[in-house]
Amino acid sequence: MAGLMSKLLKFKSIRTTIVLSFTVLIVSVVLIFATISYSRGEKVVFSIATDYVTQLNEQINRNIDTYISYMENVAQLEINNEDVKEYLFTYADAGKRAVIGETISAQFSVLRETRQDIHNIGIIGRDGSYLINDRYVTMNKNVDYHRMEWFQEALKGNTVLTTSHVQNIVADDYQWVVTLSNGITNPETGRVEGVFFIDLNYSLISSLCESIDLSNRGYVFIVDDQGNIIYHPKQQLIYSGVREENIEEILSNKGGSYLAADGDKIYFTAKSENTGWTVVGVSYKSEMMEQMNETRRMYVVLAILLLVLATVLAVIFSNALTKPIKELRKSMKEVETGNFDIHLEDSDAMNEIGHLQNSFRIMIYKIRQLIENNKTEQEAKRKSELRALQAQINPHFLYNTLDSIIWMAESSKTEEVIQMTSALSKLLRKSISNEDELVTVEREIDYVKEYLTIQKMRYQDKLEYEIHVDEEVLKVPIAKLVLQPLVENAIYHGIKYKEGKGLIQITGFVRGADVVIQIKDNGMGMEEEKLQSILVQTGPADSKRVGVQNVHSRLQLYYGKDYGVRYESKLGEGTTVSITVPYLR
Amino acid sequence: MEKRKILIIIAAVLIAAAGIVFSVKIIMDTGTERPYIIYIPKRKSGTDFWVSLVAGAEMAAKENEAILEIVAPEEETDIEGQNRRILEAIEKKPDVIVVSPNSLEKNLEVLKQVKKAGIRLIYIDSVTSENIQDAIVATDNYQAGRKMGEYAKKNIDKSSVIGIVSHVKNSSTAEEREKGFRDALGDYASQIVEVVYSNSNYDIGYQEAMKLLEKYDIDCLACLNENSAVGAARAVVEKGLGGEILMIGFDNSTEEIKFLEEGVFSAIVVQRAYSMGYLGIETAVKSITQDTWPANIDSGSLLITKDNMYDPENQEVLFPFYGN
Repeated sequence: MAGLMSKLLKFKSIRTTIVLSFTVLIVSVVLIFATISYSRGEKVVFSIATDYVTQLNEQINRNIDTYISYMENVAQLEINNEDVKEYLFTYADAGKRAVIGETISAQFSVLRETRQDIHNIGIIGRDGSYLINDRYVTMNKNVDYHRMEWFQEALKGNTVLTTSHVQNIVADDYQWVVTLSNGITNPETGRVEGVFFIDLNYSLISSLCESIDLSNRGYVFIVDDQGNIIYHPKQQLIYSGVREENIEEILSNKGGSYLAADGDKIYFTAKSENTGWTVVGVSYKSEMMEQMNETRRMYVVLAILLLVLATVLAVIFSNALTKPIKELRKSMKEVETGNFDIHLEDSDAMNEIGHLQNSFRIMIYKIRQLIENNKTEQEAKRKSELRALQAQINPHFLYNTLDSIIWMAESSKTEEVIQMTSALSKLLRKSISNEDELVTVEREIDYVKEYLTIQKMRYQDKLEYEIHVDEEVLKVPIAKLVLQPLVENAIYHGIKYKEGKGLIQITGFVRGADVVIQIKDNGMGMEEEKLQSILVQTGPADSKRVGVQNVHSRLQLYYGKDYGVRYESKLGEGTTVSITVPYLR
Repeated sequence: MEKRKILIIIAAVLIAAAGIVFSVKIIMDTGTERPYIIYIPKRKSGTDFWVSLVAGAEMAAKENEAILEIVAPEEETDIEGQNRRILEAIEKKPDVIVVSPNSLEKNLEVLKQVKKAGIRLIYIDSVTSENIQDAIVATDNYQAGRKMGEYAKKNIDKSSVIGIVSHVKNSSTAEEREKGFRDALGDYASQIVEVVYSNSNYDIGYQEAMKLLEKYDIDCLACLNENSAVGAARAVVEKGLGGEILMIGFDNSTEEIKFLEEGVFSAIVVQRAYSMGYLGIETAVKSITQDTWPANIDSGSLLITKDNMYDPENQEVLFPFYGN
């Protein structure tokens, strides 16, 4: 499992790894949350809806109960009111009755003014005497109130709460009301002989129900315990059969909620024990689903936005994280190719990568130092080598010259010995004692001239020489004592064994960026084999060859592999040796 | 290296853009298009009939989550005004235009333009002479007329003189009610002496009825709409003939109901205006949300007498309650 994981996560770059793992993490978190919300969504929506509608129903019930119990209180007050009884049952003279009537109607007026929801309030005697609101109200003569249920039932001594109906007892007044009526007992006969009634404005109940907002299509209605509709927003549609409401089902359902047979409507019922009315809230399951789908869509949208955000963040994060790594890698690549001269900033990031960068920087710095040290050491080594070679050449020259002097002394050529010795001493003073590594070509030519003077003494007419060096070459610096050994070599190996006159020609000229000095002799020349080996040091220093090899080594040590000594030779015709040095001014 | 970076940025931008576009699309999808309906009734809600009808229409609009706009001409006789409003409604490009045409003929040309504009056309209450509508929701006026005739037939004899106070000549409702009335009367139909027109105006109705009463010894008077009924009843009461003449009214208003209570009217036929409005808008919605819908709906009528006027189902129709 872990192996598979690491295999899966083996991406080419850290950034991809970070972005992907980030995204995978966010996706799974979002998915888990979405799934939970999704699966719990339905339950939650239904339970919220149930709570909400139930609360609303109970609130409506409480409000209605408050109204009704207020009316009941008023009714209790009025049916026990002595004035009311006297007005209805004692048939006193008209004058006194009018006074009592005044008092009662004043009371009614106060009640109606304090409670706008009371439409009518009145008392009616069995004999036809009545008092409604105030004394100026006349009854609707076309209506027989004796036939009204609320009147009949009240006369039986019951407290009646009607369903909603049009109150037509007052002339020219047709108001939708709910009527509460009570019987009034005649204290003399002990029988119920009058009726008190109070009409509660129906708009109070309807607006109470209409004010309830149960989503778009949801609605609230009220039925009484007989199944009569007190309020229903689609009352007319129900009567005309356009819409149906299964009242029986509602009445048989004691509180709580249930799903209607159509599978869409959900009924929430709450019955008031006080009024016997049942408040029914109707919600549509499809509408709830719609809401839920909306919520779900919101989840999806949110998830997508989160994903986009997470991806962007992951890219930014990983970029920020991998950028220094990448730079570090770039620097390392440079170093790999051998360029140590890179500029690495001191990272201010205090994280691992910062430390890494700093360490790398320090490492590069140390390597550079090592290289620097190495160079200095090499230089020192080269110099000491050079000095060693120099030291080698001096005695070599001395031996040769001293050999000549000996040879001349043997021949008793005193004059020549003196001349040569003085020339030697001059030469030594001029050159060998000179500590400088570099001298001008002109100086070198001078040495050679001195040397040739000495050699001419020895070889007499057998040695001729010509020197032709360009003006600009004369001032060019050159490692010292490079020409003399070559000239010496030309004499000893070229001219010495030649029969007849030998000629040494020395020329100096500029060729491109180089200065070339050629020493040409018309001596014996060399075989190919010898030519090949002339510059290669084989075995311990051979005194005969030491000169040429020494010069070549020194030139190469001094100027690099591109410079040095080159031989061209043909057997029997002569040898040309060229020195190439950089043209320095 | 640079190229890859650009590719990654482009990919990220594309993904982000796709995500946002997708999200926006989902959000947009939630708001399914609500049907937009304009209703042009015959007139401004002056009578209980129109109040009920509009209330029913609004209930249906609420229930179906439709946008309902109601623009009414001032008077039932204002055919010009109604035509103008229909033309204005076409400009607004609703899904459905619902009309209660004031004239059988004179609204026809304008209503044809509704169809031409590709807008559904639903009639409520009344029709035009040509069937260009997508559906009609109305009281079956012929049946309503028959109910009047059948009631009259039971209470008259061969010597009874019968008069009719109609409303607007050539209007579909007037013609159909009259036809139903005549058909139900059967042989008695020949006893109809004259048809007068109130032009849906109380005063004209009163005057015309007065003329009728003076001209003939009327025994039975059938009034074909509310204005005609109230106008005629005022005349009858003024003549002192309340309760003497068998009067049958049509539609309802407080005044008409009082006449019924007093016994001036023996019976009135009322339309289920609320249902009509409700079913009208419901059909309008169906006409754009469903493939098929009923083309002809009778919203119903009922005959109410003094004895049953306070029955729960009847008082609901007679005294429409709309939260006042």
